[in-house]
Amino acid sequence: MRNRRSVLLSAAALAGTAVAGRWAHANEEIRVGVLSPMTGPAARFGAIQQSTLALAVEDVNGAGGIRSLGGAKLRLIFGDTRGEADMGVTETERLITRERAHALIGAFQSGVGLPSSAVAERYEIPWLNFGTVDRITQRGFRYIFRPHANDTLKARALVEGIINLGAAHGGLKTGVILSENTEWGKSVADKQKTFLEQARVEIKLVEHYPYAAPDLTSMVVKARALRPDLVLANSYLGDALLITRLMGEYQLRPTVYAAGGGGHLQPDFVGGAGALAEGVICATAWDPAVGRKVPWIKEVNDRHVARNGVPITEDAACYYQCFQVLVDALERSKDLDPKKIRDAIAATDITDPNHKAMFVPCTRLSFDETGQNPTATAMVVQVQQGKLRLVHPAAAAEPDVTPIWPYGRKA
Amino acid sequence: MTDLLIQGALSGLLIGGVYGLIALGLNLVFGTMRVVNFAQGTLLMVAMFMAYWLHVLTGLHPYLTPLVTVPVLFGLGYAIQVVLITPLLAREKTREPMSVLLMTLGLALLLENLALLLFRGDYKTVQVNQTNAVWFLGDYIVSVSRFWALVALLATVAALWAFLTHTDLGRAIRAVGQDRQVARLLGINDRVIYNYAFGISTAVMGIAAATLVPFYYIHPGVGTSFLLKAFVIVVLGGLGSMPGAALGGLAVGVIEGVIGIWTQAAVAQILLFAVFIAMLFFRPAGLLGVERK
Repeated sequence: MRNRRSVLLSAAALAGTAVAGRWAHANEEIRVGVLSPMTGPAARFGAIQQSTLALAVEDVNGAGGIRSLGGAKLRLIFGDTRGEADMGVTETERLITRERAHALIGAFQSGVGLPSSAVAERYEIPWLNFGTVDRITQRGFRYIFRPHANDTLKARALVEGIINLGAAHGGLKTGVILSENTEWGKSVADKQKTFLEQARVEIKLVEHYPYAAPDLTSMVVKARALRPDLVLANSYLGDALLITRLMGEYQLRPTVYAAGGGGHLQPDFVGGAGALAEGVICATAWDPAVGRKVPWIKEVNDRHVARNGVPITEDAACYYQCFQVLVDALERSKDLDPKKIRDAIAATDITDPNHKAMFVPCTRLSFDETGQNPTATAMVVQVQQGKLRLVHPAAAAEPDVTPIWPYGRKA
Repeated sequence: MTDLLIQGALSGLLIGGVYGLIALGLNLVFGTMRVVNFAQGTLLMVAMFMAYWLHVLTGLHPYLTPLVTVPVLFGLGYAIQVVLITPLLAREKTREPMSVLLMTLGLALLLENLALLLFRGDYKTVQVNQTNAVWFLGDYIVSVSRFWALVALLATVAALWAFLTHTDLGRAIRAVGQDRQVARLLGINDRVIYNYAFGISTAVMGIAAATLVPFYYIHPGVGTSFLLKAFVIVVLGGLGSMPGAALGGLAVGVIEGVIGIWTQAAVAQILLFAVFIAMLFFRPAGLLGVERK
């Protein structure tokens, strides 16, 4: 009896699919492929991306799914990139061809996102990207979108923040940039140098050091001899710890110790560098402190903390935003044809700060012809008593937080 | 500029202590077995995690952890040799032990991924009195934690040298390294000697780890970059030579320090690997190695 019913059901389902065409079945589940590092060195990031998206899906499905599609529910299908480009490409292929994903989100590391998103472009499946390297959206692709800040926008926000915070203290005249030598470090250092020079800060040294080097003493000694007002580092976690400790030992004490993001933002950095982390200024796309001014963002983050024990991270917040941009587009596309979804994403125009896609706040969420949100911005946080506090821009900054100036002064 | 170069050389000399310790371990295995142990860096990582947990769980100062880690690591190395390497060596005794080399690479990947599974990608650090502490030598800065790494290297190389030249077991290890057939004819059980050599080489990582933990970070991938450097050192100092490994370690540290000041750290890396290739080409026995026929 049970068997016969399930046979009948599948036959009906088959017939339904045949009638409705490849994508457009009314009550069909909407399949969202998510590329994340679930194993490997970056697995902890992937875990938080996954748990943050889980909240978003529950909220949307719980509120009745996509109304314009007859309340269709969304389902996440995860692909593990292991943080490796070739795995990212393979998993993207699988999500598109085997899982028949309607849209994709990912892939965290820019080095993974670059080749993987090219696969999505080839299959004409829309991809909402997390990964900051500018080039991801500058390859003439039509299906790749980035709602948050790229490296250029982030570098601009960081330099603006440093200059504004320093204006009251006599400003900065000289700086050095210490940057790791892979894709991210090279691309971001160039932009920071340009913006700093526009702000009349003389850059006396730009050094691209080898990633994960056993020792970087000579670089720190050399930087100290230049007596810079600003040390700006773009480092992954291990290097960030090593450089900061060396700066302590070799007494490199700039007025501002800033970082482009990466390792300096992570809890292990703040814990591991201890007192030397105090006052470090860092660019980030998102911080839980955003919730201090926007209650619904705080509510989402609180729920994440209650369930998983840790706050939402910068990258996971961007995944959340990507997902909500997709939800918004699905309501408007009224169709599951990836081409129609793509057109709906391209037509995104959100200004309401309480729209869920504004989880990563900006003045206006739309996409230019390259797929980048041109008005996306970043914010500046500072380590104070072992915690990251939002200090810039003024509109987002926490009201009761006074920036530590100069670096090394006790809060 | 001269001041900076001297500071660079001084700092390089100190970090060279750590490089030398890792190269010692690599060289001991290569010198006796003619096997390049690709797992050496990963065994260093294992030793660092042992030192870290000992410090965190029992409060033992990292510098005292070798009291525990050295015997345990000796046992681990001995066991790896008995269980994994000896059977492969026996199977390939008529040719170069190629599969042993691949096996050590496999072991490295296995241990690294196991560590990732157990400890995730977290970067752990330790804060002790020596962390971030410095002494002043005139205008120059001496990092206390790196200074002790240099002392540990000198002490270890002296102890190993004494052991290899003045004890029966030490002499047997050298004999096997020089010619395993002749050593066997003289009644030395080369298999047991290999076990000891691998055990000691792994145990030395306990000392290297103790010196690193106070100022470096602990992470499952931490061994890789040290291993690459150790290869350069071993070739520079002389394959199989203990003083050569120590001298090579210090030389690499100083070269890095000086070139890093003069140009950039990345250039120093390029230069080191150029030296590596040049040494293999023009003086394969290294600075202190003995030319083998």
